[in-house]
Amino acid sequence: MELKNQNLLNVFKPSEVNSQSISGITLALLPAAFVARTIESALIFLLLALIYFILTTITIKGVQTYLPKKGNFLFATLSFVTVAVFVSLLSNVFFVTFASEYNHYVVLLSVSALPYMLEADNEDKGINQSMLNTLQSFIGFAIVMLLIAIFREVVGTGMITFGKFSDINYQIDLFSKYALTVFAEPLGSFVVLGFITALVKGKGEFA
Amino acid sequence: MNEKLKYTLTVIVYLIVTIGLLVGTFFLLKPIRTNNVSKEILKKYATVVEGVASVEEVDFEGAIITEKYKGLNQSGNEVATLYTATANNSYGSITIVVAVAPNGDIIGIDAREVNQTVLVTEITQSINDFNGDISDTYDGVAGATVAKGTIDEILAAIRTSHGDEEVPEKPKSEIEFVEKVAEGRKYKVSKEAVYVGAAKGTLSFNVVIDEDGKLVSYEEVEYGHSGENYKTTAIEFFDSLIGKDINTLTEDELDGHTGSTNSRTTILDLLLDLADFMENEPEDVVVFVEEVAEGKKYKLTKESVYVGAAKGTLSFNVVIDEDGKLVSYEEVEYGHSGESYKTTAIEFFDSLIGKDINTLTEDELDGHTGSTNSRTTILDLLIDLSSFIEGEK
Repeated sequence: MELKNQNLLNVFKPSEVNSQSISGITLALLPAAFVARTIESALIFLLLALIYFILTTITIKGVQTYLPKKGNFLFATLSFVTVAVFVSLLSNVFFVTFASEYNHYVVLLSVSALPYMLEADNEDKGINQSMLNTLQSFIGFAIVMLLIAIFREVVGTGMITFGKFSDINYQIDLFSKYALTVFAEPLGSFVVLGFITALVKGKGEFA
Repeated sequence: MNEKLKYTLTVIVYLIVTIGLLVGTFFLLKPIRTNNVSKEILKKYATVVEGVASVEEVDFEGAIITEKYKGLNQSGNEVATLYTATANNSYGSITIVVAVAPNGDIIGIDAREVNQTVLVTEITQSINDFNGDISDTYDGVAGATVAKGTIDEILAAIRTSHGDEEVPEKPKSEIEFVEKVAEGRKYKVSKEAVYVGAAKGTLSFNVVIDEDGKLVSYEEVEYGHSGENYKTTAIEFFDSLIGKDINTLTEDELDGHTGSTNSRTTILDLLLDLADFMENEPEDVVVFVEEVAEGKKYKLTKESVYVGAAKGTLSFNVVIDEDGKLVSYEEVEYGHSGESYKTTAIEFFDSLIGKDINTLTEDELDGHTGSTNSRTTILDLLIDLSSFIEGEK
């Protein structure tokens, strides 16, 4: 699968919509979509993902600059895994409850398509341009994650709740009696991801 | 250095550096994590119990309970046992956090996660309203039968785990009095116990205890634990107890011996249980005293109610001839009402002289009035004696 120039998550400079880029966005969001069960969990995951993307960009630039190009793929993969484990350690320390529930998804960031797409796109860029591309992609990733989280939490529970993973205690009951609870289940993340993929594909076809 | 070797060395150095960094980070952050974990636990259970200043981890079994802590107040006294339990069903999962007081009262309960596709609000409310005793029946919500089953499963797991905290009572030995012997009293003591792994076997001995409570001797009736060297070790331990007062034995007797721990412990338990048994053993109803010119003399003793709930002991030495007839009696102890009541009872006893005790029935009481309890006790003593003599034959 070709990963270069397939990143639809860079909202400032999205790639062309095709079957490869649609697969890319789906694979980039797949582990993360499960965490986007509530807005609170999505925000914590995004903070950890931001750290992850920044660190992987720096590491990969180092790998691309100082190590032989022939073995870059191995070093890149090792770097993705190492940084994911490092971020999961941070999560374990600073977000204990979140980590007990979602830390495996933090580690799974290392097999998400997004870091590999970023590595391919940043290959011929300097560190500043690479970081810019990464942050732009992160913004797209964050927007999609938050949309999934808002939809799943509001429709799936009929409430917005903070306080489970952080010290912010807030709850608003919108229509909990009429919640479509299936969206709060893991199955809900597949359904919402399906909606997003369809929207992106539809936008590509009408463009 | 060729390219392949250079590449391999680079990979190795890279791996060492990255793994070192991760391990270093782990140990550097460990104290912060420990502190944060404690804070999170207290925060989590603050919704179900107040006044918990610290928690102690408690061992638990089972897949449903995911956390169990002893909640302690500032003084270190136990406030409640704190549980988090999760069970799954075809509609999703349910997680309950509950604080249970040592007496089984639910101090607080919180439906932490009700990931069900139907009736979530109703199920959550019904769980939060379940705040009586952990052993109460959970009524559930109409239309949510599967969820009720899941919640029952969670509550059952918590009930079992809560019960586990009580120290299970050790199974008692089976003890029976065999006979009086010259050295003292002989008892048969038996107990089934684990001797290796989960394997169980019975140890059974006849032991003789003298009137001071000392172990005089023993003889093996059944030895169902491991034999050979293991048995020798256990028997040596038993031998070491001969001459000791069984009322003063403690677990310390096991010290200074090695091997066959289970068998030695079982032997010690047999003697400890026997000491308890003898302490509460009622005085024999019938004891053979001696042969006399007219026949055999027996001592009969019985404690019984004589008025209201008041109890007293009647004890007589009686002589029975070879035909089973009551020849005579003499009073040893008379603990029932005295004066005219005693006179009535004694008159009844006198009326039985010359009768064959093997033919005595309740009908003997007819034709007499007053002191019914005392008269019944006297009759019972003679009927017991009849059975005893029958047993002797």
